[in-house]
Amino acid sequence: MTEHVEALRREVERALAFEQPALEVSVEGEQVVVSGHYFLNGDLPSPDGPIATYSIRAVFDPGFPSVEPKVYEVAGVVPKGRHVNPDGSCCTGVWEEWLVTSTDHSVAAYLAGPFRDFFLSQVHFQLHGEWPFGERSHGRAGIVEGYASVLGIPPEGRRVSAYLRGLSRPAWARGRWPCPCGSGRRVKSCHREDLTRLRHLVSPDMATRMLHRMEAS
Amino acid sequence: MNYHSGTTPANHDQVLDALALAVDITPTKRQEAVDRYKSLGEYLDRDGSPIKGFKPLISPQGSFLLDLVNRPWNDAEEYDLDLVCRLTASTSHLSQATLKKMVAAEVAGYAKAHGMEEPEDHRRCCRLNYAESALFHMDILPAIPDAARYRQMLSEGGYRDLAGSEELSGHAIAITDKTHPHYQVIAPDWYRSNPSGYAAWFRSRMEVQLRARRQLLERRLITASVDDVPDPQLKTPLQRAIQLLKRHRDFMFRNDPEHKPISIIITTLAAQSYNNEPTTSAALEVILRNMESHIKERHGVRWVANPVNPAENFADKWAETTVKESNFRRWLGAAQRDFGMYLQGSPYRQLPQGLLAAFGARAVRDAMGDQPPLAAPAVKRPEEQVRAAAEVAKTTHRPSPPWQVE
Repeated sequence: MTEHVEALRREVERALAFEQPALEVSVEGEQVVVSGHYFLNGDLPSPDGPIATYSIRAVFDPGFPSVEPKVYEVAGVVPKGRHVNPDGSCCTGVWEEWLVTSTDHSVAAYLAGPFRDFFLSQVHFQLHGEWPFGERSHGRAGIVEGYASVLGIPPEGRRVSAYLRGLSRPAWARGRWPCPCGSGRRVKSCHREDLTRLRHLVSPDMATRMLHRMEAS
Repeated sequence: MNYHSGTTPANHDQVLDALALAVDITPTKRQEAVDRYKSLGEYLDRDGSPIKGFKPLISPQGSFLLDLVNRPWNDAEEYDLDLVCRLTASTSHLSQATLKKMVAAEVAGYAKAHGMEEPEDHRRCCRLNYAESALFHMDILPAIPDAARYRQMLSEGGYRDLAGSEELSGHAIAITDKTHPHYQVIAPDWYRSNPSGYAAWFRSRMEVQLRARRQLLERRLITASVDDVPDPQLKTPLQRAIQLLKRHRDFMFRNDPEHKPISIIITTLAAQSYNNEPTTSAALEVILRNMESHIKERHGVRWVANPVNPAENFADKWAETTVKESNFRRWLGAAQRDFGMYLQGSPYRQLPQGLLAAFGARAVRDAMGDQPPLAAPAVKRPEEQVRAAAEVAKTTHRPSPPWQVE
């Protein structure tokens, strides 16, 4: 086992200690695997115990957090069509959206964030018939919606691509290229301020990654 | 009998508090211990006592002083009462051997006068065994005040704040130890100890909760409703959590007590992790999540510093006896799992197997009262809880709306 995998295993164990006593951590090949019962709890202690318990298997790649963990609900209580990917994994959201909007990319933050949000959404939908945090369209349209939400623009594929292309330019600062908003003006005399702000959020590497994902889907 | 003030517990915290009370030393036994050490103190200070001139003073140390005494985990075990016998003298006038001899002779006189067997001579203390039925022994540690040298040592080590605090270092003592190279001769370099400084530090870690409890006690005194029944409300969540953890440890290592994680390490790491959380469950959570992070490393050696003398390592045995460290970590993992299973994964009336075993049928029965065992999970109404949790998530971070590939 490489040192990196061992460090990831320890981080996962620390994040789960006390909080999730029925999840076991193991290493399979180069991946850290979490399996067992996941207790979904509210924010205040409840005398009745957890809100819900899910049988899960989560696989962390050593590339975490750049590589999204795969999460499976293994007892089949989350039906197909409720944000389950064709390979059976749970779709906890558009990964880059979390990478860009969250400043804490630790395992603990992931478990308290997208991971818990997914199961909380599922129970909420089951009980109230609505998704508490909204939902993204399936497939490419959902990716575009997620990215557009990060960029603060309408969810139109061409517009999102144009923004991401702009943000992926290493020498963007002079702003002598057409503004991605489609106004026909140059950036420096159009959305320069917005783009400067976004630049702090979305690095050129991240913008390139997002563009590639959009193009591939 | 139900220990929770006559009421049936209705949530996890009330069960934990009742369990903490069920493992706590009984009021009668506590009083008996106090009476016994006071009686010994009076004997040592009686007119005609050869050591009366040294103003002997007996005081508790360790778990009695910190109010963390559990009943022994099985009824055949004895209570172990640690005492300091302080004589007003100076290391420049007598040797450790002389001090030990003087105190031991008087303790022996006390034993004889009370028809007890002769005290045992141990490395540091004299042990006074009471009749078997009393289930008691007292370890009496001869000592003399030595704050000046203790403070000098702290200053030289760079711990000026500690050295300057009357509470934390003003009552340090020099103690006898038969393995000390200068045990037989007059020399200033005795081993030192500081039980009352440690206790002051321990109290400071739970000051907010202590103050709240003192106010509660004062109100009760005014209304004159105090009786002999100990009120679990008067112990802080930190104390209750430590007592629960110690019981869990005692059960886990019942067949290997020699290598069990020692109480001073558990108490120190727990107190360092505690931030005056108001409930036992919150205290257990913060302790079990964070206690490991307070184990430091100095020059490659694991270090659990004595908070009132950071040069002293409570984990000094871990390097030579590695099983002590691995046992500590194994115990911490088990405690995280068992208490986590109860607080995160169970309804309040369903104690997980690990805790049922550790606390035993009697304590569980006492804690739960007359409720029948839980047959089926309680009917839950999570609708509001889920709605509230979703609202909280929206304020704490930006939740990810779910998506799927196709």
